[in-house]
Amino acid sequence: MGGRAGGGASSGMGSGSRGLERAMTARMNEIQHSATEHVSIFDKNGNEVFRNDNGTENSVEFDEKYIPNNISIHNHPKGHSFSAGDVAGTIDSNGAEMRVIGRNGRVYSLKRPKGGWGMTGEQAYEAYNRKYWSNYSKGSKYESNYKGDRKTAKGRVDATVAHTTMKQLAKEFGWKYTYFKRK
Amino acid sequence: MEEKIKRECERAGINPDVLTEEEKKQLAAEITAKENGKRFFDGVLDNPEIRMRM
Repeated sequence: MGGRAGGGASSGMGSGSRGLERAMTARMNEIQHSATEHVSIFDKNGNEVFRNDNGTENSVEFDEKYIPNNISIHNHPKGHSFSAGDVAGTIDSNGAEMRVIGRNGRVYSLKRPKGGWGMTGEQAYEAYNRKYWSNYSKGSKYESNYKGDRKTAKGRVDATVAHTTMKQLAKEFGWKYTYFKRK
Repeated sequence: MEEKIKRECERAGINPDVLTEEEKKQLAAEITAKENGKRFFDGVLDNPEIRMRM
């Protein structure tokens, strides 16, 4: 679990979306290759309002009072897309956007629709897991047929299952889900 | 706590039997922290390695 979370405003990176993108890029540079999870929350002008660098390999604590209408970024050392816990946490706290960066340089983004999330975090958690396990059963066939080593096969299945699950949820609920690979 | 761990696993679609003792301890700590108002991105049961054991 996460360690002590440090809240409060720290740096202003400029104004508007360019300021936000600059701040996001700087933070991604810091956390992309870390073996443990880190999180920052920015306002729309790129001011960092919350940061926690004391996460573990599998989770990081945040203070939900900084999430509403703001943009969060955290890293996934294993490189996969959003987890059920990520989606539920952002929806429950009414975040405007959540981004995740993996060690592999893949950046995933989930944005709140104009009309709002339209569901509770718990509903999203249930929907995510329902789809995840359905996709996982298909992924298991891929894993059995994969000719490389088991660890690589499992890693590929997980990354694919999480990404496919997110694409399906975004389509069903009108979320804006995108990703790109950093250079 | 054992009952809470079972419920949390069921919610995530994970068989509690696949968790190691250390992971069960971590999950118990996570459940307690959440009960005290803490929030997390990801969590023990979001760990892909655990999910891949199913």
